[in-house]
Amino acid sequence: MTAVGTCAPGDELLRWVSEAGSGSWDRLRDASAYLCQKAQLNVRPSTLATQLSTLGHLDIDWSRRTWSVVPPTLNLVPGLGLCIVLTGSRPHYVDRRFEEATDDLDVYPFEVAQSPAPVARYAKCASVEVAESVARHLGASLVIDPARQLVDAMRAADETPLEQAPPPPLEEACRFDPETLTWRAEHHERPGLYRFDLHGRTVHRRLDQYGYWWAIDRASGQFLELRGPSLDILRWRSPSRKGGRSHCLEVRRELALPILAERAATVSSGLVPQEIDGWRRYLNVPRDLAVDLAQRLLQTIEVI
Amino acid sequence: MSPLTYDDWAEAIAAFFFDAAHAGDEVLFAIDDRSLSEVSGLPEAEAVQSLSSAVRSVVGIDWGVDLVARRAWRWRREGPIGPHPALPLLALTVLAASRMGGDRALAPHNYYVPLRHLLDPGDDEKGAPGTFTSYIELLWHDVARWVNDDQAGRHGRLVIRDTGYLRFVGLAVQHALVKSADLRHLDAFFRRIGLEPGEEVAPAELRRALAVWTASRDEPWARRLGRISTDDGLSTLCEALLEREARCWDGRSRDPRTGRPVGRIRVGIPSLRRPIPGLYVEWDERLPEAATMSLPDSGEVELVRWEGWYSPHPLADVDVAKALFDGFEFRANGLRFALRPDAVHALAYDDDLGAWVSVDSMSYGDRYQLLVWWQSRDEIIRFLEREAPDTWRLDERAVRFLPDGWHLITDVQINTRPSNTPPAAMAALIPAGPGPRLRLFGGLPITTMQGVYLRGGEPALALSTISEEDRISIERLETGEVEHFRVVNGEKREISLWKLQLEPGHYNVRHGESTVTLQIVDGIAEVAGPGAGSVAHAGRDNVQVVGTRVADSTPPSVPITIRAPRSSDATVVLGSRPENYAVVTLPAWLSTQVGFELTWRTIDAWVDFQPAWQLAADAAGNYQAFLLTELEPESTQDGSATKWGRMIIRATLVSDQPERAVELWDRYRAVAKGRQR
Repeated sequence: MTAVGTCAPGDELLRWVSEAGSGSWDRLRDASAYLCQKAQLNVRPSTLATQLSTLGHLDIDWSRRTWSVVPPTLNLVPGLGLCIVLTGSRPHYVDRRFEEATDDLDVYPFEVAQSPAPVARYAKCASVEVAESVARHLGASLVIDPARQLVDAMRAADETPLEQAPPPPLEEACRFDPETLTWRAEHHERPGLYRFDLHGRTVHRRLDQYGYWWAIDRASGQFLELRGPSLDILRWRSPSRKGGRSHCLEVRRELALPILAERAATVSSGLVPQEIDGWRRYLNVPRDLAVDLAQRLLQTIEVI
Repeated sequence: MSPLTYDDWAEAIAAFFFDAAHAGDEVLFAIDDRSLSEVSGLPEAEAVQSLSSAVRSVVGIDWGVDLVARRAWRWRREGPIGPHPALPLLALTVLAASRMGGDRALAPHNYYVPLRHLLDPGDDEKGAPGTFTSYIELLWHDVARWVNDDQAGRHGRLVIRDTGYLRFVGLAVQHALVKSADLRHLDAFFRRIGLEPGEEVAPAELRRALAVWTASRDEPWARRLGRISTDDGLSTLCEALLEREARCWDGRSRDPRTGRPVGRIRVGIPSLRRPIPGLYVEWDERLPEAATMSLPDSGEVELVRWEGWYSPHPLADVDVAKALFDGFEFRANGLRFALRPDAVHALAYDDDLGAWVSVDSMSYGDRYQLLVWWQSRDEIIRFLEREAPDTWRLDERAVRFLPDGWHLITDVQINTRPSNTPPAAMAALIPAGPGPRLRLFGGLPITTMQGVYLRGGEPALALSTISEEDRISIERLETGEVEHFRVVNGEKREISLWKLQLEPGHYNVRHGESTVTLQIVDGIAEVAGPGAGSVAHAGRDNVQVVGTRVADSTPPSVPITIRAPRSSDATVVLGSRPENYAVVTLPAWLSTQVGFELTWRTIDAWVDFQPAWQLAADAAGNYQAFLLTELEPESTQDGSATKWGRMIIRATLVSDQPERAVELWDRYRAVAKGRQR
């Protein structure tokens, strides 16, 4: 087990949110800022918090500026060989119970460091029944094939509910250019997706052709703009024949995924995506899942 | 308007100082020219004149204080109903105390001459007038009885302290040591020392901190607050006052006399291209939905709530340059709105207003525009160069639009607590660096408990500027063990407690006379802290998703557990039909991620059919069949044309199987070869 004090800022933040349970964004931001300073990490405090959310440890309601930690969850994921992934709350006492629950010949605990994000923690179980028993001992729920459930629960990009919103500060705002996937300050107030800074994080607004402004999340906004003849933005890579390289989903680094898609992609391996040559690579995402996910984003997926 | 009578004054004073907003609190009966104006609605000089006339009409110029005492006895016998009849007289005695030291011809402690002058400007006699000393104590105590006992403190409490040798004078002086308006500055003081609403701090520590905070200021209010915080004879009074104000402080401004909220006026800039500042009136839940307010020099304005603000926004016809420099306030019907004359305003974007407006403090990671007074500009730039490199810019063009002397620094973003002490002008905006009080900053405090931190998430300790000592002591309360640490002299007198790797326990940290306590814990929550799982994401058909769990979803089929294939091989699971075929491989890639070789004895197979057989390769590469479920083969077609059939033909049944399994395997082979029964 990683000792507290030498662990990544993400581990310490996860420990804190697990003890605190829930709260305001302001408190979470202050805790993140403290950890960034401690680790001499010059990133926005929202970076650490967003990573926890992506990995399924934390839910953040940005509109109300509140958050709550997810109760401890064990995820039985296809393609991981009965290695269950621990997500959600990880307070001191859950860590201790996890050690007790995995102190068995039928269970082998291990973890993968991925600083500054919290370590990915696994328990390799001898059978599904053993996984159920670990969950019971831990007081955690066991979720079977979480990625499939999350993708099935996803709204399509064009079904995201929109709320009318005030215009952004246009002199500050940048517009998303779907052809280059970049944000441009010279926008001439044309319809499209805009971004600006509000309360320490970037927020997005969509300007429709009638001149109305709508609040929207970055991912839905980007994929709405990218609807139609698409660029090469999502692809699925097949595995190596002997399993040495996992199959994976790759997404252009300029694009965000909606939170449920992001979570489905990360829980497939329990790991944060790797960034390679301008693409974010999510390991162990099955092809059918990648196809469905792309469909929800109004895209087709390239298979390589 | 007819002049206010003595009884009118009694009513007005009672309504202003002793009302439900003060329930249970000690009332500072702080009478000065300004407060009389607020009580009566008259200009200050007229208000003083009116009160003097009213008191004179009862006690006469011979100071028949017994006449007020008689009124009070009669009032008590008949009720007591309505306000205490001594209030106007006592108000006048406090007003006299507030004028002590105002006449250079008199000794600063001379009380009776200013008192006499209030009734008769030509009265230069010295000593107590008329029957003053015979009755004044009785009247103060009777008013206290009325407030504390008759009204049971529902409208505040009045505390009569032992005034020692100042027997008759001290009763009034204790309410006039500071002007009531001086107490408004305590809001900034509490912010500066990092006081949290509800936090209990030793009153003596607050007094020492106030002494330090006011020492570097030269304004009259700072001198008065400085005097009560440094004069040993006044320490009890000062500490009682600070304790009361700190207890009432909720992090927001309120009027120290009336207890009513003070609304905030913000500086705002609607456009960064043309940064022309305006004033915006902020609404909060303590304030009414609408109010008619008097603007200085420009008549009345009707404020109507709009989202978190009042319209009109920005306020029209206001001299913004003067407001920025001197501060600005307006009032009516007991309501007051104020803008502090700060040297730096941090502006954050407000989505409702569509403008950048000033805020009380800066948060880490947020972006701000700083409106800066020229005298503070260079110091702030030096600070930003160290703490927010590459994020900000001094907008030279903005001076064309700003009032003289003001500058705009744009896009300031500080991501973590500064490692250098912020300039004094920014000290209240950024809670960092040493102050008069020993303070804890940052860390990972557990939400519901003050001063409790997670192990490894201990806060930084900012040393007290009061103490010159270069050592701190940390006592572990459970063991009584004390460790001393020497502070390295640097610009920033601060210690990162997490570096000390303290064990869980209770600690008392001392620096000079200032102390702070904290507790370190490994954890508290059994599973998760309060409110876990309370935030959810809405999915299709509004299905709620918490973490990786989707509420009310159809449970997916559970995988089966099978023998793991050898590391480089795959294994095959077959069902009863030729289309029931699945290949299962080991996730060898996971070993690369983990950094060492993982091995498997069993593995999961996610098949969407009922499994009958597992075919696994042995060391020689030959496939052997293991029975999973006894299922009869179901096929009418020639199985040999399918992968299912080819695998069955290729495999052999593992040895030592029961006869039923052997017979079943034979039937599968028959189907696979196209020889159905």
